[in-house]
Amino acid sequence: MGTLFLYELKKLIRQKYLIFFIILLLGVNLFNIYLNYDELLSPQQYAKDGETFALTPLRLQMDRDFAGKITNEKLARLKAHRDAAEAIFNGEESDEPMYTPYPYSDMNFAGEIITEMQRLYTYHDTVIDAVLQKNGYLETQAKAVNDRYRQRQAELIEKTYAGRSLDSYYRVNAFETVFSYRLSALFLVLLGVYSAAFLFAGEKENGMLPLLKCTPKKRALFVAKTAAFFTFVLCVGILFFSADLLTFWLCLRPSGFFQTFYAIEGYMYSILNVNILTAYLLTSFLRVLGAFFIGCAVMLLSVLLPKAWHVFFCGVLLTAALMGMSLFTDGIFGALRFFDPVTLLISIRLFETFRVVNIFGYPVFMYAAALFGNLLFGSLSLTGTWLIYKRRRGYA
Amino acid sequence: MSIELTGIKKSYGKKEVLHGVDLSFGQGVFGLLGPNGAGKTTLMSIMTGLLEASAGDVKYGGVSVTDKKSEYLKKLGFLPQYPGYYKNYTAWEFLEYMSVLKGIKGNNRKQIDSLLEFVNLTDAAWQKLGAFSGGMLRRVGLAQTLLGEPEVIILDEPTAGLDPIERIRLRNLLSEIAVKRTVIIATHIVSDIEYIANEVILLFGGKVKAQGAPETLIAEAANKVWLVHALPEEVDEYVKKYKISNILSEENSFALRLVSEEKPCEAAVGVLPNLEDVFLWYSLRR
Repeated sequence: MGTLFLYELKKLIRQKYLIFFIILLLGVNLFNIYLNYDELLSPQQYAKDGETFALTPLRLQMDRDFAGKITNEKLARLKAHRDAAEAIFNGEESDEPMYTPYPYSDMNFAGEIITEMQRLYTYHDTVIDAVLQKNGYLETQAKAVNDRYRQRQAELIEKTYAGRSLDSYYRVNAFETVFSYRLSALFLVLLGVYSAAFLFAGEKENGMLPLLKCTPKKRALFVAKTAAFFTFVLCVGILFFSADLLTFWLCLRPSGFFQTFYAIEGYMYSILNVNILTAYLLTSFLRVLGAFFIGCAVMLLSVLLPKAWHVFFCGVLLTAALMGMSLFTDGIFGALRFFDPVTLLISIRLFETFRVVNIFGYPVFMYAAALFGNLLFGSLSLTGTWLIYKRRRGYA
Repeated sequence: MSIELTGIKKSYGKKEVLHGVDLSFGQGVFGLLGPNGAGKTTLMSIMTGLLEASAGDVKYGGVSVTDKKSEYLKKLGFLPQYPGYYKNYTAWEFLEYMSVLKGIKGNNRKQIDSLLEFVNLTDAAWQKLGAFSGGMLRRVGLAQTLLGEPEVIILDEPTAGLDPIERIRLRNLLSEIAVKRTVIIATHIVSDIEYIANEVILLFGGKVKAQGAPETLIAEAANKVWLVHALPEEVDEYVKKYKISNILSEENSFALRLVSEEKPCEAAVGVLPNLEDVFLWYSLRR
């Protein structure tokens, strides 16, 4: 089985066009990040008194100076710096050294860090109440004390958010851009669709299908093909998402990889109680799964259609349809999104706030429902592919 | 063990291409000879399990191959008419890949090396198949057919598209592999099997017209092959009227070798038939 798996993997990675597309799309992706999110590789330059300087690296220096555990001493220093900057801005004298040539910028930067520190410090007091209110629990509880589902929901909220606190300041908010970035996931899907298209249709095109069908190891071949395809998507996913992280780090210099995920302001209500790096690995893996499950559906097309290019175009259309379906959030189409791999491609949305579905009176997290639905989607696609491959006779 | 075909029929829609074929293959080389469209590839495909017969059964060692397909496939070596390959694999890699698919257990390196040596491709073992000539590819195809030392080898038009030297080379290889095996060669080229087949089956229009040793079939065509010297203006008439197996230009005339139940003209001289003449003679009797 191992040898067969390696040979199937070789078939995939030795395709010249596929390698070309991987390099091309990786380049386009990284250039897109640089073009739209760069603040540090080529920061905006300002001029004062005949000298040019960039504000962003100076802000970064300030962030570094105040990074780490939030203390009264740090807050006092920041407030003093802000007051000194304000005084200079108003034409008064001050011995406080400024980070930037503009006192107004120093005043703003210090003010922003103070506000962020206060948000982090008061996080514990606000988050559970906010989540309870968001889920309408408090109002419902007032009306119907005996609502078991609501009670279970409240228990889950307590369990999820209990004991949370934040006491350190880092440039974690820059991670929000990293988590919400989607182009690389789209490229991963396209590469997955392309490679899946060749899995069976490619065998028809190069005339190998009759030989393969005349061997007794059909099931082993099918498993090896599927495993090789998953490995390929996983490797390309690791390549793309690692490159994303590195490029974003170079462009935005976020810090605090080991801070808890909910320290990021945009994800303060997230249900994830893990650090930022783990959250990135988790959401990236789910995106890989999403691309793999779309690929499973394309495998089904690959065993049905005669030409790999036909399969690729149908696969792209299928992906577009699945993306369209993910836009529906209500009614029957809303329920279908649990079976839609695109839901996993934008996996961060599954974790960004407390969202549950009522399954037999029990609140189940959206990510669990989506994962289950997608496993079903992938299993059905693979079963269909296997049955057709096994039963189909002839040379096509 | 022998392969038995009983009442094999195959239809595509309303068109029946095989009309109840009954055949038996023991050890030795069998040449399945027929014109294009006679149903040879369809019959080979049914024997390999690639196609399902509309009626009839294929048995190997008395057991229906549909009941023990996996076991049967382990004993089968097949070279299709247009064998595929992976241009990015080397010859060695391709054979290793196929050996795994054929379920060959244990150390298959020795076997791959000896098969590459047998088909005279040892020096090209680590070259990519994309760089191989048609003849080299066909030899790699033959080597994969022999992986696992199969008891039954089915070759569909094995010399198609090969130049004369490669054709002879492949034919010699085929006669070497035939020992203690059942080798079935489907072809429309008589010379492919003329000297190596123990038995020849003539298939016309989806029906078996004759089956027997080449000498027996040739003997049946005795007194039916003639040599006629014809003037240029007479050639057209002979071509229209008879099956001509050969036309040789002479000084002021043409020497025609033709097949006919009766003597075509007074000056005609009876000659000894060959397998090609037999093929023509049976095509006359369709």
